[in-house]
Amino acid sequence: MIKSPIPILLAEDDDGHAVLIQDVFNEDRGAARVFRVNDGQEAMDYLYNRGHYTSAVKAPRPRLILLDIAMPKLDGLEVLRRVKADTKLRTIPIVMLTSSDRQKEIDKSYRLGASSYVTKPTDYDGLCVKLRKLRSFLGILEFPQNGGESP
Amino acid sequence: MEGSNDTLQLLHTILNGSTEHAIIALDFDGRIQAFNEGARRIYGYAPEEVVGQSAFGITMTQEDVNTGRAKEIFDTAIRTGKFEGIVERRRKSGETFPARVTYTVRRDSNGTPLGFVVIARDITEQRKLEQQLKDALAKLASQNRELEDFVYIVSHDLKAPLINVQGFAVRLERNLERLKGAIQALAEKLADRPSEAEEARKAATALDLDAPQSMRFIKQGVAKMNSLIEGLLALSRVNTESNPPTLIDLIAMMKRVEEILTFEIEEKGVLLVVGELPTIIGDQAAVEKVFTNLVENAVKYMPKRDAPKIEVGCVTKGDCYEFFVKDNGIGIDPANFSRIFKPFGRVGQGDAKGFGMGLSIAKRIVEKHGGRIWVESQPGAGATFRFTLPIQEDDAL
Repeated sequence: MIKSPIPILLAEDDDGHAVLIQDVFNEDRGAARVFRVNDGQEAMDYLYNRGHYTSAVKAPRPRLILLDIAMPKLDGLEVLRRVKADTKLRTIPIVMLTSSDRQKEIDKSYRLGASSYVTKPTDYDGLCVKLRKLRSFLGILEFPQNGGESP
Repeated sequence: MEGSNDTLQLLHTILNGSTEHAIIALDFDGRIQAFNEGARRIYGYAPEEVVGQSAFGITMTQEDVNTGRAKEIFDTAIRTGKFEGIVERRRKSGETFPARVTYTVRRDSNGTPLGFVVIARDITEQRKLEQQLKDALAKLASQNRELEDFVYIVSHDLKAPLINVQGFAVRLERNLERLKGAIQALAEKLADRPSEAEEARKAATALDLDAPQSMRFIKQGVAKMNSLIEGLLALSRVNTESNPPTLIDLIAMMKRVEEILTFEIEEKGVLLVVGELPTIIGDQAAVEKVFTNLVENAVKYMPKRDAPKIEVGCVTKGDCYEFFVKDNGIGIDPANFSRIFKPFGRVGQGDAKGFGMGLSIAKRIVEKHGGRIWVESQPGAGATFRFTLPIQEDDAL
């Protein structure tokens, strides 16, 4: 059976970071497809299929959201809060992927319901290691309810 | 009788010369019996307006009378012979003001109590100055917080482009490697065109020589920049991140410090001797950082020598504990004493790891705890870092 790629929404305002992150997710060809938006407002438009994202084919419901914190228009924490406040969206796992390692932002993220908090290291290899670990998280996402555990 | 007249004259002079202090005599019912020049200036009444009147509702505020506070002061003074404190008082204009007052029971020559002598000082100006000082300190604290915030945010903003420089440099390196392979393959295919094959080989060699060096410089630059940013972040965290004070067993804490630095200590074969240390109250993580940074610093600059040794201990000096971290390492030139406590103020060996923030972080933490830190050393004669922490009531040696 051919599995369709898992849609991932990446909200990241830094073009370079977006490319580096997508690179790692593309290493596992076909397993995931990263849809990138530039800011928090676009992330909300994407999730509600409005604005430039009315087509559910071009903007499928993500199985995972990667959120940067410092973004224009709407920051990552506010996107997190809004998604977790919406009964239809709140089940989507959200991973904060950000360069901030400020304790109060980490605490706030978990309080608002983030599944994980990953800081972007400045060394590329370190970044790749962290992103690959995140990617392996997709394996769990593929079998969310049944079949994930061996009998 | 002349002596008695002199005494009366002296008392009269004191009474009317005390213009900064209101001196009022009261009977036990609170009726005013004497009212000096200072009282006239402070309360605004002429003595003839108030002598014989009850001080309740004149110099005392109605609130103190109604709540029974005025009566309480009387009772305390009668019971103990004296009352001292700060109370609200009222001027003739109706304005109230803070006053520091002393009530003393006065007696006649037989020792029979007659009433009170009340000495009061208007502390409005003092209060204003205290408030101004408080406001100025609050403003300073707020500006400091803003500055720390600024440093933190800027540091993080500086980090974001570094991720790109690093990441894309690695991508470029990989692509150059591919390009080199392609050129080498091309050179082999150009066997029948020797001059062009030679050109291709030269290009591949140039890439081989140049690319790794360029990459090394880029990576070194990024690593250096990253360590500077990390240093700034660590320094700003001293003030932005603090924990509530807890009881710290410094002996147990030093065991953790030793564990953290195991690799460095063993690598240099350093003998770490921990003497008697007290249990203190403070921000555990911060205090641990001070000891860690000082010991780490001593290990880092320890040269290869026989019996390298670091001693950690404490002596009590007045109301402070004075801690020391003593090494038999290379020592420090006194000319550099102030520099080493400044951010990025590393002295000497350029190959030492770290970003030169350890001592300035230690200094900030110590000062935040109300202590001070300094170093005693001579080049070649080892160094002793000392710092004080105020002894708190619940601390126990």
